[in-house]
Amino acid sequence: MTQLTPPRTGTDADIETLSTVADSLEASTRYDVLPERGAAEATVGAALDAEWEEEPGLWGFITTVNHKRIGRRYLVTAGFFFMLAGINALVMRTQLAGPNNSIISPEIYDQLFTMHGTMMIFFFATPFNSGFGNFFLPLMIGTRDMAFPRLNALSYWIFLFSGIFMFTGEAMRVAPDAGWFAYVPLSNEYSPQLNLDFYSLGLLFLAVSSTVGAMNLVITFLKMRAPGMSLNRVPPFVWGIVTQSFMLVFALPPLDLANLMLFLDRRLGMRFFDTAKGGDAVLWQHLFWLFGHPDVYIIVLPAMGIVSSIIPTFSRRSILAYPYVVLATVATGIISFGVWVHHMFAVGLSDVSLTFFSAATLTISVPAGIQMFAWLGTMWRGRVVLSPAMLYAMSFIITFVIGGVTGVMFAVVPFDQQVTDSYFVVAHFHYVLFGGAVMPMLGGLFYWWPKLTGRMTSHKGGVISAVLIFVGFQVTFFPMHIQGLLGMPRRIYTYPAGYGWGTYNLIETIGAYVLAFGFLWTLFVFAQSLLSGPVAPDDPWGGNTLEWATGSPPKAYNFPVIPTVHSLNPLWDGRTLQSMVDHRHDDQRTMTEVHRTLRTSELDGRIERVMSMPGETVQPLLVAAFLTMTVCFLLADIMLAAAVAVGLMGLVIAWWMWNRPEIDEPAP
Amino acid sequence: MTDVNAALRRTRIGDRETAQGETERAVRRGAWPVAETPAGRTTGWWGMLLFICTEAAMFACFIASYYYLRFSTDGSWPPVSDKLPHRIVPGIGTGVLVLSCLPMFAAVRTSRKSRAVTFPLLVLVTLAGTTFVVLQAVDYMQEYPSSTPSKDAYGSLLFTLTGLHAFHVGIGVLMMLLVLGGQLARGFKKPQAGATRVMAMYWYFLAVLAVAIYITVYLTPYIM
Ligand code: HEM
Ligand SMILES: [Cu+2]
Repeated sequence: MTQLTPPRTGTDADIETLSTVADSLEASTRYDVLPERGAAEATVGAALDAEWEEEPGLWGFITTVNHKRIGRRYLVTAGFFFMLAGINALVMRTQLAGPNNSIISPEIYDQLFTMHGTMMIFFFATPFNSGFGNFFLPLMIGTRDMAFPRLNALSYWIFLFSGIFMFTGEAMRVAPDAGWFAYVPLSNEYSPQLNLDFYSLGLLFLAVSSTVGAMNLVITFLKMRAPGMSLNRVPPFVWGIVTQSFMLVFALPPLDLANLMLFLDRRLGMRFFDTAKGGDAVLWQHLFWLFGHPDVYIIVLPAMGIVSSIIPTFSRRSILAYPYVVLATVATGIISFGVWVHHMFAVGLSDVSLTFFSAATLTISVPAGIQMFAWLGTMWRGRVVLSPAMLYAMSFIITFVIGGVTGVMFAVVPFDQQVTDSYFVVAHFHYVLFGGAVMPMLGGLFYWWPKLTGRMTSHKGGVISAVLIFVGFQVTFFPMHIQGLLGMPRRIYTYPAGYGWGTYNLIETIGAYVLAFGFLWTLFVFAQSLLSGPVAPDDPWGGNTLEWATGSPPKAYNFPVIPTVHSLNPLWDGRTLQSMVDHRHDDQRTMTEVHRTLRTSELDGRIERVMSMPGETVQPLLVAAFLTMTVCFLLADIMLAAAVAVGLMGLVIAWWMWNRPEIDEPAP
Repeated sequence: MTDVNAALRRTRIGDRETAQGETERAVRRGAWPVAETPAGRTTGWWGMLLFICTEAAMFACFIASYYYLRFSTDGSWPPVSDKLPHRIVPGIGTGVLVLSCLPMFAAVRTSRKSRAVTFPLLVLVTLAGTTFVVLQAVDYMQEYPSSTPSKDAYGSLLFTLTGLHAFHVGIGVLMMLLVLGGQLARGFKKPQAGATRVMAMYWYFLAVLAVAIYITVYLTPYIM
């Protein structure tokens, strides 16, 4: 047998041999425990187990700061919100199945589409990415937890409580009902009930979680990468998460400001958006879309990162044009801040700004195209393994390209002005959001399920799931293009017969039920895996990144020995895994004494020092609870109680800051 | 084809056997800072930087909104029903906050060497911050009946923009008290230098912001 070189050199002969290796992987000749990890665990595993052991039971549940438990919770909670928002959609599709239906009233329809959009965007897509980021970013960069574990727990609790807050509004039948972008004045003086207060407060509430979560991910990436992981060895998924997090840091402020102004206008009679008193309704639109457009990429970039993880593993070669993929990711993040006005082409702005933003919007398709070609090239030059995850990645490529094409069409102002607010737009954004986020996320679930749960999923079940979702999606959303061109406006609760829209609507509703069945099926595949799936080995797919060097599921401390990273594909380079064996007696790499991990330099990943990490604590839950009380009191307009709750929250924060783990470290 | 496992092992872990000899050597380094490398930025430093970024983005949007509304208003600014803002009192407040950056800077410089000097310097900074908040409240009493938060967009902007900033200064004062408390309770031996350094970043940010807001809210109505 010939000597194998790492797959990234990629001559045809290598690929040939490697795919033989890959095939035999399928035939379950893989290691259960990687020998290198086995050696490292044998040396320091027991000591680390004792140090990192977590409190059992309920108390352990509410005090944990373990990024893996938090990451899994994020996924479960966001998945649950996805289900609720999906049920909203199913009700809408049922209502729209035929003309002149009256299953639900127009008022309820308004709440349904607003809640569907708001929950999908804010409470499903973004946090689901955070779930993957939380779980996998520390594993992929080779560290033991997030930079600020307590803050991580806090952002989860706030996310959970704010989601419950929003759905409480829906249960009380006063959910937001002015569309997911809540334009004033509809959301202001024409909505006297609590509906829009749930919106502004709920989103401000959630923003706390997203902001601290994003900062945490960025800093973890900057300071905690395993030694040797210089910036050019960071996996594309991590780049996706980091770009997204950076974007959140800058994109949430305009949204927060807009919601603050809306709340003040509504509750304290301020005049920011009151045109009669010197305010301006278009200001809301600017602030909202200054957030809203970057948000599209906030949702899509990490999902693209998932695709960039799946494709190399199942093409058995390193990703093609890695530097361009990274540059494209970052460039997309930056350019996306300069195109928001394309959502306002029909508002009546000046021609100059229309022209400028039209051109800017066209440029943003360039980096996305670069990534597309990198994925296609990777598959082209590799040997594709059609696993469920890979099928999902390919569904993503097809769907997202279609969505991208209609997106470029909107950049052309006259076309946009024709189809704006029609079902053509609904078709477009579901192609990019469902295709660009939900499909990669499902692919990611199938890909990482062994790491998340320690169980394998059924291959056949996964393939059926991918097919059902793909078909169901296309049947639901493709006809919307035509129906939109035929003039059906979005956000109408019913329509008269005789416009030629009926058939399309019926097909779409059938598609939506296929889709729903597909999701149930997928849920069933996962449940079956949890109950009776085969136990997963460390590295079931022969993956290329560091998460596969940990246990399935990983131990509380992730890595018994922090490895030295030697290349972009550490599991394929032969030396990175070996470093876990070599360093297993080096106490700077094992850190068995207290909760500790390595801090490294931002650019080159050089070791700076050993860093202490906090242990379990109830502080995050307390802060989140007081914040929830504050928000509820604000909603109920009991200002004094809200102030008291803020004060209590401040006290807990002070306690939190007082007990910083680094207090006991020797001076730098 | 029979020896796939061996092939796999070679793909994954390369020269495993050859490196074996060195692996048994145990290394005890004491696991603290590595002598050769510089101390580097802490996670706390980066945390504060990103926090400042997100706050700066919000205030930038707010100030931009101020000008947006100002220039989409025809006629005079402030509107005829309002009087021009008072420049003096908020000017003093802003000046005090900006000047307090000097003791803050000195405190950072001394925090590693002479902690007895750091403490009074930080007390001075805290007092300056408090003064700023008080003067802002005094200004509201001057502006009040002529401009109110709900009378027109001008009033909403004036009170909310400055109020949000003053609120942040208030938070800065509370954080400062926490740093001071830490120094008192833990003695001056334990390193509070990191906390002081991070606190200073925030303080400088608040001062820069104060100037930008002062120019926007209190000066531009006179010149535009
Ligand atoms: C699960 C399958 C889905 C179905 C069947 C579905 C269906 C629908 C329907 C019927 C509407 C209302 C159209 C109207 O009356 O204007 C809608 C709107 C919307 N959907 Fe979906 N959708 C799905 C998934 C998603 C996902 C995954 C996202 C985002 C991540 C999403 C985001 C939105 C948004 C933002 C709106 C606009 C809400 C508004 O008009 O304010 N949808 N969807
Ligand atoms: Cu956009």
